[in-house]
Amino acid sequence: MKTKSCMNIEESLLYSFGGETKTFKKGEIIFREGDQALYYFQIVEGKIKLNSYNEEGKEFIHNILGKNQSFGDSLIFLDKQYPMNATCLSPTEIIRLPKNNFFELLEQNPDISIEMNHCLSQHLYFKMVMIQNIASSNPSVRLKGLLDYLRSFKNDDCEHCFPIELTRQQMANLVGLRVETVIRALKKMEKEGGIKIHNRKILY
Amino acid sequence: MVIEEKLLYSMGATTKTYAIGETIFLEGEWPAFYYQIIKGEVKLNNYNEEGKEAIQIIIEDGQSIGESLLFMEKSYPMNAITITECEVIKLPRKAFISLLKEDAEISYKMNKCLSQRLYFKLIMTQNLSSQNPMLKLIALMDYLKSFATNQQQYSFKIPLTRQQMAGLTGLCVETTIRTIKGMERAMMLRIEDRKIMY
Repeated sequence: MKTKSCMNIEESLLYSFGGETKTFKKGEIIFREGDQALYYFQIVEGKIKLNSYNEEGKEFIHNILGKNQSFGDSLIFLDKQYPMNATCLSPTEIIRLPKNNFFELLEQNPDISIEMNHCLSQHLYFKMVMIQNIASSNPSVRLKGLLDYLRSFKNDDCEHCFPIELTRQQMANLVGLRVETVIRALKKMEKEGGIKIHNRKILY
Repeated sequence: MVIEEKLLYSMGATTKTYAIGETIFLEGEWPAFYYQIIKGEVKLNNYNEEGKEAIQIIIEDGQSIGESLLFMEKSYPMNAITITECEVIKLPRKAFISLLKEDAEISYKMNKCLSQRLYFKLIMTQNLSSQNPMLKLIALMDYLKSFATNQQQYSFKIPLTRQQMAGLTGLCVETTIRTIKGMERAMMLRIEDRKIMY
């Protein structure tokens, strides 16, 4: 089943509720761990990562999001600070909408509110799968869980045609493995026919 | 998530009672109903390839069961099994979605509830990637406790064996046992009759 790219609210609607556009350079930070969640954010162009660092300074990536996806939604419904950073991986344009305006938008558009229910459920499902995979001591199982998730956004089910747009390091930080382990596990998966590697690009 | 029972009945909900150990839904089944517990306790679990019980959350009176699946085109990834006698109110999926469409307040509450669950899952994945066994175990216990109504210290009985906790955090059992003892000495938890109170 295809995973829906969400939230993807029509830009004109966001503007009519007071949305504004912001542009960021590569590497710039949209919000930091510990910041209060004040806005709904939706990506118009570009790519961001949600990450945090553990006590040893090791990076953990929660998710990487792109065009027509929102991020950090769950925190605006809770009275909590962001437990992660949002950092731009490329030049990025976003629309942001103050939290209360966003709630108003949901109230006046029940279909979008249900879309939000759907979107949060989808994130929950992803997290559940990732938690199950992270608990596995087998690196291939962890990586396969990630690859399956990434591919679930695409419609076509063909084998070895989906290019993974992540670096080995990003994959390592998404599943909590060391980069050396990721490289070794990917090579093993290639030998077993699970993936193809073409010019260092992974095809799944 | 709690929806007023009256409202649920007005949309066509019915009540069903279950004995201990009965199944409400099974992994792989299509989510066809919204379930809310009136009385009793339910566990959510699943089994890994080796047949080991992989996750277990206890859901109490007044909470909904597996509601996030109603918003997706996916079958249940877990089982829901009663651990006490239970009375459960159930509403067909279509009627549930109409209810949310008609009542913005309920849809908003649902967003809040899903966000809450997501938040704890997020913290849990973050800490599971840590190398520190204590952080991993705290993440797991915080997550399990987040479903309980009583949030007082030492009030929550961890419904897992040491073996299961090890399996969920990717630690070995010996490390899990040692770390839990350390946490007891640091007064972070209590052990009563081998049961962990957090």
